Amino acid sequence: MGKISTYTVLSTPTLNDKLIGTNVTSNNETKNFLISDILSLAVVLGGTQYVFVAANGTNVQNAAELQAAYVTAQGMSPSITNRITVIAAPGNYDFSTANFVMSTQYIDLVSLDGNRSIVFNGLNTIDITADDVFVRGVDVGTLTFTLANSLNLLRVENCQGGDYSFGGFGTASGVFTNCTGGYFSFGGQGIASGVFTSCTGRNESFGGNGGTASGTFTDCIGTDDSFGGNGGTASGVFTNCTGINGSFGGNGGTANGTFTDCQGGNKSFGGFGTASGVFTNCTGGYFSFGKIGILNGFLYYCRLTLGTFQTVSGGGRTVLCIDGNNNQNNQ
Amino acid sequence: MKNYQSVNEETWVEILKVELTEEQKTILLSSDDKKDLLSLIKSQREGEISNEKKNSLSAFYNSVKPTLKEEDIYELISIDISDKEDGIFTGILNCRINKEHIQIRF
Repeated sequence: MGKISTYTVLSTPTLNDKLIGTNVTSNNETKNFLISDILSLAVVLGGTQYVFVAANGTNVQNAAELQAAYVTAQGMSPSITNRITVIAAPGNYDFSTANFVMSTQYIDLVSLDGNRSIVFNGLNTIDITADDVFVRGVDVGTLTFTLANSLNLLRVENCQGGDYSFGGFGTASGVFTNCTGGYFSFGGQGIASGVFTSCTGRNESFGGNGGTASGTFTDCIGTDDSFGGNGGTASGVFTNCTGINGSFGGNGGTANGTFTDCQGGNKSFGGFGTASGVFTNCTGGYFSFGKIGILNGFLYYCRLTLGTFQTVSGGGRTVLCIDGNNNQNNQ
Repeated sequence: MKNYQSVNEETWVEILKVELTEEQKTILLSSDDKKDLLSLIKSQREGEISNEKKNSLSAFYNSVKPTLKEEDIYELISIDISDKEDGIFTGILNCRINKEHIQIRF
């Protein structure tokens, strides 16, 4: 029999192949060992408070690895003083049979590079049901980034989802930073009571379409009927936000919050409804600021791009405002 | 979980979750005339609540309402309460004190 070093046939091992070795706990007997058993003994990259997902397999294998890492994290006694972070490398994760459910508090999920590089490209999506969780860098494409209602301690950063994402038709009450959703996102047609910074939604987002926008919104962008629009209520604090037609309690709704440097389209800011809030340096289109409704709020340095201001009622004021005819309005 | 809202310290409504059919969702996402559907949704969105519940909500509101100095001018914008049915209320209170907008999350 030739030496192993001179054996000429090379083949690719499988998990069911065996290697010969010595069992030191059994009188140094020579035994066969399954390669799968040997691999299971390998040290997985991880630490006391993190588990790493290498994502070096197929899309489906990557998803399985992420799921396994989450289960591992669940077994690491997560608590408020022992947060566990699952760090996932950039890659595609195909959850083909079920959602990836984050059901345990104090287990966070972040992408290795901070970008939206944990890409869900299968039929199923992420589903967060636990409250005190931080998620960064997840992109579920056009799928719904699903949240349970009223997760007050949830923090979501730099993530992307499709329609109804981030509490659409429900309550979005966590902290959302630099996230992008589709139609009805961020508490669309529900309640947006969280803190939203640099987030972008489409129509009916941010408590839009008859919902309630009662949170804090900074540098956010919606389109038609967003921010408590289309008959809803905009009672929160809005700074440098942009909506389009019917936004900010517009189209028959109520704009009773505080609006600074915001921009809406036609029928926005309580248009056809009630504008009873405080508006500073805001711009609206035709029928905005309580037009054909009630204007009993305070408008400072605001502008209409078309038409004239509603006559104020109650203790309402307009100060140094300009209407669609470029006439100054002070009431 | 139930959601409640008051905008005037006296009247409370339950904000009901309106379950939309796939057909209704399609209409909302389309450029079709949505006026009738929106009116229907709006009418289904607010529900009445019992006096006992009103008292409970009012008591909770008073417990989170900010402490005022004698000369302070207070204005409630809205209080939105979620009741997870485990006796714990969460939500947000928007108000103005001396014209300054205050948000209190609980």
